[in-house]
Amino acid sequence: MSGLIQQTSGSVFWFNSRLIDNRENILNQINYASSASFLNGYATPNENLFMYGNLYGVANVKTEIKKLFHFFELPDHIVYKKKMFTLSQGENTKVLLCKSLINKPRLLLLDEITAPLDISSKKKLLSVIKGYKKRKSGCVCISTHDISSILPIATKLVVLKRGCVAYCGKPLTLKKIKRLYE
Amino acid sequence: MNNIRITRWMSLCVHYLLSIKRNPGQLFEIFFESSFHVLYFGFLTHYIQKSNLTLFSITIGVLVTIVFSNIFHRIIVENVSQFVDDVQAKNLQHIFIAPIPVQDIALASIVASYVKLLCSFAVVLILLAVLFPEFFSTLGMCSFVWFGSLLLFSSSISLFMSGFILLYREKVSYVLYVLSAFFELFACVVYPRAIIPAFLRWLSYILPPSYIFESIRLNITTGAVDFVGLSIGVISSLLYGIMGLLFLNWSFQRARVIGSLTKI
Repeated sequence: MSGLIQQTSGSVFWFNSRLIDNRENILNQINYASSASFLNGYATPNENLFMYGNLYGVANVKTEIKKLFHFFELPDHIVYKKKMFTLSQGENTKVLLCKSLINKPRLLLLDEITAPLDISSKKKLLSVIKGYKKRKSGCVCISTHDISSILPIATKLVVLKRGCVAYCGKPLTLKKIKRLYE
Repeated sequence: MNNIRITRWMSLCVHYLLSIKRNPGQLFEIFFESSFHVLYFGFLTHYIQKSNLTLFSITIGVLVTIVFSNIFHRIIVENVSQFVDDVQAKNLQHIFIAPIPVQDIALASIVASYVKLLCSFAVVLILLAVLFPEFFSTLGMCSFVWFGSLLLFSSSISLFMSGFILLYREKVSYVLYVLSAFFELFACVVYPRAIIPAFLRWLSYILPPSYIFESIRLNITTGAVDFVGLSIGVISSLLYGIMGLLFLNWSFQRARVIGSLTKI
């Protein structure tokens, strides 16, 4: 979806243009976070976000970073002083979420992001997704095993079983999803 | 009881041997490092024995070429370690999803390694000024060409290495040892090309730094400037640069096909 893997057939279109023809412009409107990835371990969260803010050409980077850190309740002593590799998995995930929202993406890709989050951060993330839904300003695509926390706000559900699409359509109840795996 | 201890020792032994089997870097150390040292210092000994030059000329030549050889070691090692750090942190996929072309990522990494090279050179120059001031008497206008062409060649190899990292991830750091040793042996850093056995000499002809180091040696020992050698060194470094850029582009596309970008 972000062009990291070549599609086996066809073309990838985002915002009415082909990804391969308009890569930089499209990627400027996409962002991504995965609990399995990290940022530069030797830099602080603030330094990392500053770098990514500049890569995405964000205006007023410092203010935007402050807003995001404040939203996810990341205290100053962590974001300005601690190196990334000293953070807990939960803190690391929160920083990754801040990074994924730095450019206010129209397409937000989240990979297994809910598992390491505490209840309060999970609520914050859900409010971000609800915001997208309310404003109709873009799309959030989440891959997760933690279906129960995402299901209430999902508008479309794709269930994968052994690498194949087992269901694609409106969200189902947990019971029906379980049945798909039987 | 004794049998249990022996079994434990044996299992630990197997554990350590397995780590050698799975780690090409250690395999290199065992099979190649000692042989490399024998060859390197053997060639140097031959050079000292066979040369008609004074010992002072030979040793000052060795000192200057070793200082200059730091350029390609620093640039390549720093560039690879920067990328490998990002690969190990799984940070590189975030950079590749950002709206920045792959060439710009590689060039930024090379510029960062230039900064590290300058820091390293600042220390080296202070040491030379204090302990070996005769080093500076050998420098002239040509030094800029030597410096520039070695910088160009090492940047080109860095582009190749960045391409390999996209394909093979951190495993490339194992190749780094072999690559460094290969350059040490065949780039004619401390001994002239003529010392290398004839059947291996072609390896030095395909390495642009060998022309530069030959020019440095000639300039230091006779004062002559080898324009032909320098030109070959600069032009072939440039060619390596173009090939490096093409290779980087190709490996980015290839990495998208095989899916290795999602693992970095």
